[in-house]
Amino acid sequence: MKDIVIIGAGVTGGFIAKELSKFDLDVLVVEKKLAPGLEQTKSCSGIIHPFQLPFKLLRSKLCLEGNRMMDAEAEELGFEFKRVGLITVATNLLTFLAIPFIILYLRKHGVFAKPIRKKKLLEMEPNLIEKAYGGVFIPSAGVVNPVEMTAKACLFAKLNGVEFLYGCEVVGIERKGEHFVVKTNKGEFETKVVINCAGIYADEIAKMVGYEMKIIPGKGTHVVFAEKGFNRHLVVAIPLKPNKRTKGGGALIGFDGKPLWGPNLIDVESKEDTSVKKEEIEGIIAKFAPLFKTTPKEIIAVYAGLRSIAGSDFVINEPVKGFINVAGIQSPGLTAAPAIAKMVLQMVSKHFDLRRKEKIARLPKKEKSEEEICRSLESDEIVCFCNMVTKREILEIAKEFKCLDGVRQITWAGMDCEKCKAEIVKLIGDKVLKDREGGEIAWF
Amino acid sequence: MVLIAGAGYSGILCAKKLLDLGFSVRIFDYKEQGGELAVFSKIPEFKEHYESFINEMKSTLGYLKVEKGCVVSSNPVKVLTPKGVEIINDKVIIATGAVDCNPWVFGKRPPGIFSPETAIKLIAEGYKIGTKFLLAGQSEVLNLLEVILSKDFEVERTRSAEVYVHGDKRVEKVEAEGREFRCDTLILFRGRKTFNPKSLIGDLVGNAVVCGYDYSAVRKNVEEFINLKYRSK
Repeated sequence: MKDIVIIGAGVTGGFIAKELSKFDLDVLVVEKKLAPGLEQTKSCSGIIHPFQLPFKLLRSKLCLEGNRMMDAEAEELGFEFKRVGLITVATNLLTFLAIPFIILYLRKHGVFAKPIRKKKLLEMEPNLIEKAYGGVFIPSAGVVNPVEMTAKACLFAKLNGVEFLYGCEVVGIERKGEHFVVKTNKGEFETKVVINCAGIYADEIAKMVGYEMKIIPGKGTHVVFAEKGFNRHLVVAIPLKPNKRTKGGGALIGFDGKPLWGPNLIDVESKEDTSVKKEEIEGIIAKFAPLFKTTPKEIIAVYAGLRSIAGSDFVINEPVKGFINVAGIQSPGLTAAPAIAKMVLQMVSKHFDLRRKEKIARLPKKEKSEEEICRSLESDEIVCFCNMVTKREILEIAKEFKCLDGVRQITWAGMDCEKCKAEIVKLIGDKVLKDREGGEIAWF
Repeated sequence: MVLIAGAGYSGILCAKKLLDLGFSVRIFDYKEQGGELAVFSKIPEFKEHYESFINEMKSTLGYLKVEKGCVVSSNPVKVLTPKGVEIINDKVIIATGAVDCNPWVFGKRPPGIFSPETAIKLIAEGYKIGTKFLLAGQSEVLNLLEVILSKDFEVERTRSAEVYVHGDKRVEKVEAEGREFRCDTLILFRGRKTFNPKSLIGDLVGNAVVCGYDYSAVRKNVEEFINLKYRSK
C-alpha cells in the first residue's frame, strides 16, 4: 500500500514529489513518457514570470510566490536559473504615458518595477527600434530549462526515496474502501491518496473518480533563433489593451541566451495537435519584429506546446476525499510549481501525520569550471562543444532516463546545431534504444 | 608561432602549408583529428568522391602532431587542454569547419528527420536510418546520399526545403512543393553555416568560410588565404 500516488512527472508532479520526499511517506510517481517533463513542460517557454494578471486569481498568487521561491529552488536542486529581467516597451505615446501607472499598479501588488528612459533602454537592448519611447523594467523575470528543472526535482525526490515508474500509463482508478487502486499498464497500485498532475489529460484522470472537468488544449507556437545575445532580456510591447486569456508572448530568450519568440495562443481540437503552421511562425515574427531594427539570424527550431486550460484559473481541489486535482495548470505553471507543491503539501497534511525526515539527501553539485573541462578532456570526452556537455554527463542522465529526447532536453546536448547529434544517438542509442520498438532504425 | 583551431581538412592543410613556409605551428582539436573527411572515409561512395582530399590530409597527418584542446576564446587565445588552461598571446586561424543548418520543419516533429550531416555520420557508423526516404533541398551531398540509399531503399527527391511533416511516432507523410510523399525518413538540407560556437575572432579559413560540401572550393580558399596572409611575408 502506497501513501500517495502522483500521476504525471511534469513540472508540477515533479515539484510535488520533491516536496513530499522530505517527509516519511511512501510515494510513487507514474509517468506515461520515458522521462520527466516531456509533454507540456518541455514545450513551454521556460519563463519564470514576474506576475500574472489579474492579481486576484489563484494562479497569480502562486506565480508571485513561486517566483520568490525560485532562487532557493535552483540552489537546492542545482538547476540553471537566471533572472534576466523583463522589459516592457512603450512603442507609442499612449503606452508611454501609462508607464507611471503601470509601475504603481505592479508595486502595489508586490512586483518591483522601474521606469527606463529611452537612452538606457537602447543601452540595455541595442537592437531595439530607435522610436521606442521608453519602458518598464521588471528584474524578477527569469529563465530556466524547464525539463532540467523538472528532472532535477524528480532526481531529488528519487534520491530521497520516492519511487518513479516511467512508461507507465494510468488506465483506470477504482475505489477500494477508503483507498484507491490506480490501474496502469505496469500493474495496480493501492494508495491512500492520489494526486492528479496529468497535465493535458488531467480531465480524463479526474473522470476516473467521477469528477467532471474539461481541459481545452491551447496551443502555443515558438520560434528559436541561432543568434545568441540578439535580445538580452525578455522583451514585450506594452499592450494597449491586455488580452484576458494570454500574456501575448514576447521576444523572449531561452535559458541559454538564444532568442525565443512566442508563444501565440490557438485553441485546438486535439490533445495531440502540436503541429506548427507556417502562418503561425510568420505571425509571431510579424508581431515582434517591429520592436527591433532587424530580425535575429537563422531560425533553428520551431515548436508548439499545449497549455491545459480549464477556465481562467488553476484547478487545485479535492473533489473526492483523498483525490487531489492539480489540473488546468496553464501559464504560469512553471513559475508557480514550487508554490503549488507547498499548497499541495498543506492539502496532503490533512491525511497524514507528516514527519520531516531527519536527513535529506542533496544532489551532487555540478559546476562546470574551465579546470573541470580540462580534466574531462583527459579522462572523458566533450560531445557537445556548443554547450560543453561531456560523454559522462550524457551517460549519467541516460542511466536514469531511457529516452533520447529526455537526455537531450536535460543535458542540452545537441540542442544548438547538428554537429554532435549523430554521436548522441550513438552514445545513447546503442545502450538505450535497441530494445525499444523501432529501435533498429536510428531514432532522432 | 601560428595557432590553428580545428584539425579537419582545412586546419591540416593550413598547417602543412605553413610548415612548408617555415612557420612553427600548433594545431588543436577538441575531438579526434580528421574532421568530417574522417567520417566520409568510412562510407565507400563518399570515400571515392572525396578521395584526393582524404589522401592529402592523411599524408600530412603522418608528420603533424595534433594537440587535444578546446580553443574557447580568442584575444588572447585560451585553450582548454588535458593539462590545464593555456593562455597564448597570439592570433589564431579558425579552421573549425561548417555544420549543417538545423533541419526544422513545419507540422509535427516526429523522429525520422535528419540533416545530411547527421544522416552521413549515422550511416558511417553502420546505422540503418530509415526504410523509405525523402531527400529535400538542393545540394550535391543529397545526390551522393541518393546514390547510396537507393541501392537498398526507396528514395524520392524534392527541391524545396520548406516541408510540412505528418506523423507521431515516426515521419509518415511529407508535403512539399504541392505534393505528398509517403516516407518514414526525411533528410532535409537547409544549407551549411560556420561552426564557431565560441564565437572566436580571427582569420576564418576553409570550410568555415565556404560552408559547403565542395572540398575543391575549400582547398582553393585555404590556398588563397595562405598566399595572401603568409606567403607574401
